[in-house]
Amino acid sequence: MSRQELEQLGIKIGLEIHIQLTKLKTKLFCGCNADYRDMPPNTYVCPVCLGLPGSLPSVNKKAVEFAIMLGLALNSKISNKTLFYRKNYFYPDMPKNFQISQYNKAGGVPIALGGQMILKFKEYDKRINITRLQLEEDPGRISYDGTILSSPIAYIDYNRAGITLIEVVTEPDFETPEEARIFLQKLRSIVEHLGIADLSLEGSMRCDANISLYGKNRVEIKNISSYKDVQAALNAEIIRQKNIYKHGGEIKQETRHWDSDKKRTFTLRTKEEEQDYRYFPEPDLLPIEISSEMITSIEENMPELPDDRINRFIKEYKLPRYDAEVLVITKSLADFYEDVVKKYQKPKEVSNWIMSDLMRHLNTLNIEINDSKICADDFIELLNLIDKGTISGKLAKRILQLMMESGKKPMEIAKEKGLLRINDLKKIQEFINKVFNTQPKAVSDAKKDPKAIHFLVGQVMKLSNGRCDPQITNKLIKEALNKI
Amino acid sequence: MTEDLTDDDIKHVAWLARIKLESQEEINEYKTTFNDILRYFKKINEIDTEKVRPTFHISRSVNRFREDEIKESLKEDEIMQNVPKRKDKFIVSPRII
Ligand SMILES: [Zn+2]
Repeated sequence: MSRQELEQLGIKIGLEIHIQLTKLKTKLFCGCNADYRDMPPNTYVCPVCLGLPGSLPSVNKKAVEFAIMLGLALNSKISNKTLFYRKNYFYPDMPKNFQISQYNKAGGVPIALGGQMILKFKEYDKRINITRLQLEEDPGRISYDGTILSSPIAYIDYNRAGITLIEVVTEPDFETPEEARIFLQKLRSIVEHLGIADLSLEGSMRCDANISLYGKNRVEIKNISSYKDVQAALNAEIIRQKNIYKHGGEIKQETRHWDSDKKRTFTLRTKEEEQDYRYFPEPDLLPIEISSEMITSIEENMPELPDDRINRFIKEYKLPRYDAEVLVITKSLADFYEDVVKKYQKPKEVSNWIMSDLMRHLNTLNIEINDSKICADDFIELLNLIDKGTISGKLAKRILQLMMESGKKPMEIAKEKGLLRINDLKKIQEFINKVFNTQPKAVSDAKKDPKAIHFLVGQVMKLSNGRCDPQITNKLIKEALNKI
Repeated sequence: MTEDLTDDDIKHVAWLARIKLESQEEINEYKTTFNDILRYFKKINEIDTEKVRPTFHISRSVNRFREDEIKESLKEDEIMQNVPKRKDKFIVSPRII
């Protein structure tokens, strides 16, 4: 659907994003190792995160500092006093039968309130208002034999239980799924620039969305597990709601579940309503007071944020704004760019290479620069080889792809695949002779019409897999034609 | 909180706690007990708290933090000693939808 079509639907979308603070060494309320990925189930658990009687939680100071950093980056108001609340529910993913979270009602104040992010699009700027930021603990992971419906039992792994989450809640300010995706992309870049999480890790950024059309009932979509999926999930839900309205039906307020395999949303039966969670202040944790000195000292040590980095790229490397914005989409890509430009000082050329070929290969392989096998030094070597004329720009594109797949050095690939440029006159002449022998008609054409020479050059390039130096080839063909 | 709880309220609270109430006698028993407790709170509600600020903690101290340092977790046999059913390193529970 085009933006105009979407506008007519009166779409309102709000997001709730859960971000794991993966740069913390320990969990939110206990000293268990937080680096649980790839660990056997139930390895990093202790009396606190298992909810054993008599155990007491204590707050990870760094988690609070990280949350303040994110609040400041999103222009939120940091609360001077904040509390933890118990959200009570009976489900095996939380062994305590409650989740320690924060609450914005019944006297509760989350760690930060308000804030905004400005999204830049070609035709317009969009301001997204943030409602609040809160700290809470991640539940454990449950898996099943097959699906939840077919499995009589559940397998529980509490390694994730107690991992620190920041929940970012936005106002329903998004009017297109694209805006939601761009927001998540930018939020991710901010989080990574702050150094509080690596969101390329599986399940480290999860999103729920609420969406309504024409100002009518709101549907909540759960389980959008990857930020890349948000646009697909919202599009699917918009089409579903639009069709129901088109046929005179009504949308009921409900919670739906996004199935990323089937690419559609399903009704999710939830019997708990907000009052059923019986939120009350966590008696085992003292309130947190955040002094203005603490905020100032965190503010003074804030790293460079994406918007500042974009402006610096424009100034320092004379890049167009568009280039700078694309490069800073992820911190790792911007870091890669700067690593290359430090030693290969043609910033616009590097940007062109990254934005076209490198990013295309990343997309095809569906990986990020950190997961690809290419390193900055090898990429610089490739660019130098083009400059020296050792390989042609065209073949360099192929070599780049092979570098990203294999992690081999450019020269190694060029030799292995026979992709080095041929400058040797004798060798080029051999190719020309072959072409002249097989294409007599083209040769006589070229003798009459000098423009037809391009065809012969093209044939030589084709025969040599693009390796012959085109200028030398051109010159030698002209000479050969004159001799006929 | 001013109205007495009904059978449906009791059934809902039981469901929230995943407790199975077998008979009407059981429901009646909980209903009586719950309503007694609520009547007691009604009594407390009569106190004029207009000028009293809400208290969430009786202690006046704040900011008891922990540094982000890894502590040893429990050993496998310690974890599993309270676990009624396991499979390999997983804890097994009935499926709850
Ligand atoms: Zn623990």
